[in-house]
Amino acid sequence: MKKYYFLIFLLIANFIFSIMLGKHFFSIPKIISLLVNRDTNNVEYKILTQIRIPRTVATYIVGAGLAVAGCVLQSIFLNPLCESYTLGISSAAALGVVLGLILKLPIGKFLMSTISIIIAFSAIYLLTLIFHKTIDIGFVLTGIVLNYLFSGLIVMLTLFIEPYRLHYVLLWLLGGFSGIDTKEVYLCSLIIAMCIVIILIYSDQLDILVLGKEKSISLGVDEIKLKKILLTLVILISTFCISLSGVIMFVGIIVPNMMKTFVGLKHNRWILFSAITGAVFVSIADNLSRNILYPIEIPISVFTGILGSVFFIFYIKKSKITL
Amino acid sequence: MSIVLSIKNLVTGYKNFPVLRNINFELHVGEFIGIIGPNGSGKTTLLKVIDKILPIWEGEIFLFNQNIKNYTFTKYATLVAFATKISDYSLKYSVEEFLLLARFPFREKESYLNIYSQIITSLEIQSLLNKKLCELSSGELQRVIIAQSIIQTPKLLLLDEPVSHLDIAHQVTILDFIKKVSMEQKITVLSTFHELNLAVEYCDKIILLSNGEIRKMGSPQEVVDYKILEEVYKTTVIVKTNPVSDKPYVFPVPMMWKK
Repeated sequence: MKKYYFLIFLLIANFIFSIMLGKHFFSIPKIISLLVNRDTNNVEYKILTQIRIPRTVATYIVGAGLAVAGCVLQSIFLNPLCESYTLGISSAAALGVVLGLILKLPIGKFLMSTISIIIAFSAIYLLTLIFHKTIDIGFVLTGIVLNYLFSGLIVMLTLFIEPYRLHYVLLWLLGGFSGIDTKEVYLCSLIIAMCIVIILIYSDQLDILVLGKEKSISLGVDEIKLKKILLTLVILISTFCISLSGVIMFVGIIVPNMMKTFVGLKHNRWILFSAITGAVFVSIADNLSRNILYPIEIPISVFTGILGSVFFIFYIKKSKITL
Repeated sequence: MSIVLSIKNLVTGYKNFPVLRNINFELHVGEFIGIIGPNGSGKTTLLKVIDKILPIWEGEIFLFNQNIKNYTFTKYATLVAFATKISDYSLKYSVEEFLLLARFPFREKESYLNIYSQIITSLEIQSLLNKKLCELSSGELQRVIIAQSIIQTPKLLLLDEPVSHLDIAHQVTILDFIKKVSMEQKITVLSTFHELNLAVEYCDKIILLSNGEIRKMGSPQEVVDYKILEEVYKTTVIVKTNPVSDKPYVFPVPMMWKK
């Protein structure tokens, strides 16, 4: 129980800290007075409610979503190196955005990436079901193959993009939370949170699923059906995470693996802990990315990648865990 | 005796490759049945198809007079347990967590291990409860997996080489315990064996598989006959009688003693 309280405390404390930080520092009394007065013409109130709070909510939901997606994918494929990006999802989204830019489509990058991921995933899903008839590591392999295919197409397409737009694509590929839309944030949060809750309901079946195909059937879990449901949920989560923030590397691998050594394999605990830690982790990385070199914003993947991998290497070495 | 399981004209296999053909037999309440046969003769496949892991190509399987196709996976798991290998990924579970997963099909609000302390003591795993599965030796893991299947309180217990990783003392302890549970709680046991002499000692009936078909089914004395065994295993054996149990005893004959 102590661990739960600590994590919830961390979650709240970090949230408050995140909305305080920025070009204009807001103290806690100031935040309270701004929220109490609700003066919509006040610039500071606008900064708070239209920039800082949505942005922090976005970091939380994306961090939680990516971590939970990592947990579930690892347990579906019985492979601790799976995350949303090993399924080719990031390049699918990027391809959609690049196409949208080239064709000068009137829809925003959010919608464009959502649509393209859904198309890409239906392709992976169909290919796998046709060739393998089961959901196993073949699904991941198909994803990796498609990842290369899409990356190749992106490189080819970028030859036709004007240089200033290229920069925009690059930034998006590196991920980040600048310039996010408040409505998109709350919509995504709702969907992702719902998916996480449904996954938590399935956590006792996930406990059985990881025992392998034979044992899970013999303990009464309809393995294929469960995998289909979970994959759909994970794809939804990943889609909206990426549409919101672009590609944020590593969270889906680091956080679940770290939490697994803390709380073990019982999925209700593991997924909950991963969600909270993922949220805080991405939020801290975002705080660093927007404050450290202000007004330049460093892409968030720089922090998740560098911090995460350095930390993880020491962690593996110290705890002698085996992936 | 009422019939637990009956298999009629079963054909099954993997992908396009048939493994089992023309399988017909019945199991009765409380019986301890052994399946023997050379490698690749379909012993484990038979267990898998009974546990709904492999699809049935032709024929039918009935559990308590109901076609097993009509059971949901969860309902089936309350009646049939299969002590089979688990994925490497799941070796992060502690023994206690792993054992409690056996209660999943029953959807109990709270499960406690102390109800099953007799099983845990008899299988000598009480000192392992807080260890992780990956820290166990293969023999210990095998005992834990068998314990889990018994905690699942099945009516039909399927065992795949239950004593293959155990020393002779544990082989006897485990099989004694399974036999005892089977008799006391009227559990039907269907188990594959490599070690013919253990199968003979513990089983009421033996099924001898050869190339995916039942070569012979009957009492140990009927099945363990040197002519049949030499034909199926394609090696020379000598069959004598065990002085303690009066059951047949099989010696393989190494090449150097053959004339």
